[in-house]
Amino acid sequence: MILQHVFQDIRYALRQLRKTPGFTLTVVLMLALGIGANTAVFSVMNAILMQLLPVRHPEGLSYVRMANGQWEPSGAGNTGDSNTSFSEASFEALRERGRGFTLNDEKNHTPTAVLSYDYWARSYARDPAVVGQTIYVKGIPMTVVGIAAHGFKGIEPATATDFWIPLQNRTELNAWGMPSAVDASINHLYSSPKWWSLRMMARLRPGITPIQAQQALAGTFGEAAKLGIGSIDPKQWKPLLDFVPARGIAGYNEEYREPVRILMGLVALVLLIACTNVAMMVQARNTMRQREFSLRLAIGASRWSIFRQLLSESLLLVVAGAALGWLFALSATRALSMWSGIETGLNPDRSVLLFTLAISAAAALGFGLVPLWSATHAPVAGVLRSTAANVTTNRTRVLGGRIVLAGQVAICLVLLMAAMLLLRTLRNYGTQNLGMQAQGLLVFGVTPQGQSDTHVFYRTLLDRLRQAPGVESVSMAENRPGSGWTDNNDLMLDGVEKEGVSLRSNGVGAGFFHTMGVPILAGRDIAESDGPDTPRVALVNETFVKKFLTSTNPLGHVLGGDKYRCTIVGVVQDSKYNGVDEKPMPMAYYAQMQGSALGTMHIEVRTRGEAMAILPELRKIAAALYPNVPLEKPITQEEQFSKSYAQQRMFAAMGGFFGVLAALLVATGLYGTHSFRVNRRTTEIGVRMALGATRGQVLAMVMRESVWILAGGLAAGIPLTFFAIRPLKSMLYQMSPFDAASFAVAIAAMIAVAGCAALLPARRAASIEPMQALRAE
Amino acid sequence: MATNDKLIDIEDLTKVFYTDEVETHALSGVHLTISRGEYVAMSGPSGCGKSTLLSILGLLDTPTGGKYLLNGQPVENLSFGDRSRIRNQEIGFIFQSFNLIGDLTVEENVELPLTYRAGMPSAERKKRVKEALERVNMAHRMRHYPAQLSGGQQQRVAVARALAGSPSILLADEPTGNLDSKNGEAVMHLLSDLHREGSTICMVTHDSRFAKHAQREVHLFDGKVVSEQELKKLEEEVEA
Repeated sequence: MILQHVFQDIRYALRQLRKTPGFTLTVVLMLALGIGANTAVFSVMNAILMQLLPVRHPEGLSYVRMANGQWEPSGAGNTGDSNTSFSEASFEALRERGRGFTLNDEKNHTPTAVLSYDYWARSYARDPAVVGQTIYVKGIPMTVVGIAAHGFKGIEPATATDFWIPLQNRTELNAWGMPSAVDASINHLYSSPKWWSLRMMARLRPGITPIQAQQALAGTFGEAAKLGIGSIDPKQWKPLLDFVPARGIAGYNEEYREPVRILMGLVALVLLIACTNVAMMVQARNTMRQREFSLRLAIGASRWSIFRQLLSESLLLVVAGAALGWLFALSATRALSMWSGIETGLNPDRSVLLFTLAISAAAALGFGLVPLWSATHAPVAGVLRSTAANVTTNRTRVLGGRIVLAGQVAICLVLLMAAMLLLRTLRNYGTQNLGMQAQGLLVFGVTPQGQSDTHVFYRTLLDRLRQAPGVESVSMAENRPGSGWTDNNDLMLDGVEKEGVSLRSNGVGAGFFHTMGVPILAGRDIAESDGPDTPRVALVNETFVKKFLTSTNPLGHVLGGDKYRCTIVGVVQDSKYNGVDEKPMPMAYYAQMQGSALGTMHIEVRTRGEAMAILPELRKIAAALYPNVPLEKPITQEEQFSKSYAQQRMFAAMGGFFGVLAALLVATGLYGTHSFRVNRRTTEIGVRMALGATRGQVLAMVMRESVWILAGGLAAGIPLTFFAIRPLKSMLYQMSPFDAASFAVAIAAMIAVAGCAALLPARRAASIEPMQALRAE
Repeated sequence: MATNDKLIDIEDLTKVFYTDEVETHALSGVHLTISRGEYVAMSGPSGCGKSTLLSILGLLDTPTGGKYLLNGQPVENLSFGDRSRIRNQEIGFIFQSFNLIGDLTVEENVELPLTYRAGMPSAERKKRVKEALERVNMAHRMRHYPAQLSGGQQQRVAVARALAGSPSILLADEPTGNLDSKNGEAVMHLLSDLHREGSTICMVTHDSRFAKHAQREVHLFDGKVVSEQELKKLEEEVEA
């Protein structure tokens, strides 16, 4: 019987919703946008802060890292280049096929590999026969022993790994392509006690807390630290390990915790606006249906049955909105994944689905139940009244509606202000002076795999590349500008070590500044003649000079000591190195060709036309010279810098989108409310016109209501914005959260939105023919 | 009180409504003159065109053909703004359903047409509102809302609203239609009093008892003005 009622209610609800397609579509779209946007942001939050690794009992896993990390030994904190660093992969990754790594694989450095599911699907079309086959990693044969489970993308921050191999001790697989001749101690990652660059993970035994684990390992780690870096000053650093739960994206967790939470707050406001809009629309619809409810009550329906009926309609709307919102979220997360460069885990998972269900239920309660009271309390006698003797409105309800709309305007102002600040931040990133001419520059990495003389290798390669058509000049750098990688060393100037002063540096090739378009302020560029047999030279930037060599000619001063003494031969203008948002720092550039051997270098090519267009030709030239040396991660230098703020770009784009979305929703709400009010007041407007009101006076009357709502919204919104926008400071670049121009534009946008939303209904009101007043009688 | 001064003069007035493929002749060749200070009742059965004629007289609607002179001025080609201004200054409406605005007090309702009159100072408006309400004996209910009044009181307020602008003519469309007989009678007495004081009134009614309050009764049948004898004959034909 109950089930029969339920089916009957749903059938009737479907029929009712079909009868009003405009209403149904608008409500479903509003809910879909609100729920979808929340789901998408929650997916990002889930991926960055909350998601556990798809392994057995992931809650027991921790990342292990050094505690009190203000000072760290060389190499600490680095995880190595993703091309050449190898995760110890006996981490119980769920396997699709084959096996994972064993302790034997690690101890004996077996030439085995486990493929990621995505790589297996992408490169081998999920062929099961790939297990047992050989793949070549930098020319070294490795046997595929297993396929990782679907969804497991590794533990590199935000980067999906294609395959894993056990730690290796072969010199061909040294970190960063470093030749063995450079330093025997860093021949390979596994055996060097000095080179701390591996990411460690641990599974704690049940019942063991991270603090207990830290204490238990304090002695062992202290011994290892001494072995690696010699004596330790306990005042400077206490060697302890931290056990951080393996949740979210390692490294992003702290940096993006605040922005993600702010975005979550902003998008929750969007949902609030969407739900209040829907509540008002449902309320308006129920008001129009008062006669129907009265009739039902008059023929014996209970208030409960009307309540049940309306609840069915609300639930159907929410289900449709949530389903469409889920589809929106799937598309949005794919786009966000591309914008942010986060290759791992942005896709909605079970937690996200649960979140979506929860907010959908909250939305159903929020907008579904509120308007039900008045609907179920329709006067039974209402059915007998054909027309009202006077033109009346429910003053309390109208006032309530105005307060809700003013609240929406206030919230929208906050979102528009946030959007303005974030978009201007994005603009600031994009228009940042890089200190170089990045346009027209192509950059790619090269590793001199298996080359006995790396100097000859690079000289030959660069010479050949310079001859390619469309190439203006070519140089190289040890660290690719804009990639986030830097060298940092203690500063020794003119034989005096500057206590506690760190100097950033980069090893560069001949003509580097000419190629990069960085102006040389004094002295000269690195030259071809600066080779291993000539005295070492360096260039410094203007910040270095301002800080350390203000009152003297910087040329001729000496950096470093012993065999690494370099004479300063030039001063260059400051340029961006780590990323777009860094502040100018003292910086030295060394002639990389003066080192004993070279590892992976990044080739900078100044082109005459479209930078990427020349890549196939350069590939051909490199392949002709060195068939086994690929051009690694080719990209334009502009794009490389733009990647350095990919996450900020994602947050800014999302913030901007939420602002626009909120404005759209508020406009819809205002438009819907004004339209509804105009419809309800048709007779009144007709009477006013019959009494002599002109069209302009009617237009002004409707617009005046919008002005009051806007004024109320702004009065509440301006102080609210000042209060709410403060936490956004951490996401802004070269902007104050109280930026006056952004405030002015946000307010102007709000006025425009409110004006446009009211104008159409106002024009419709003004076009009412006064005869309608008499006809309505 | 009637004079020979023509306030309304219509000749051969027609009104045709077009709906899909149906052509409805609401008014066919109506001739009518209303002099200043006259009290005219327009009567006839439902659908005879009374309200349509009243709408045209009140510049709420436009005729399909014929001539209409108000105060000696043709109104066919007036703009919407001019028609609004004339409605506001020359015509006072009294509706069957009162059409008071529920959100406004009695005072605000009566003041409403004056607020649309550019340049009238607030003090002048208040004075006129007070006078109009005193005239209909409703000044003591100034601060009330329409819902707090009886039907008869609401219609008196509607009359005050029509009077406040000192119009040339009062157009009343079934002013007793929503009232009981006692209140209906009271409103008719009020209109008679106003007429005695010099107002020109044109009232639509289908109730012959109320039509008798007027000086002159114009009978409409199927969109045409007919004499009383003709009307009786036509009605008998229809009944037969």
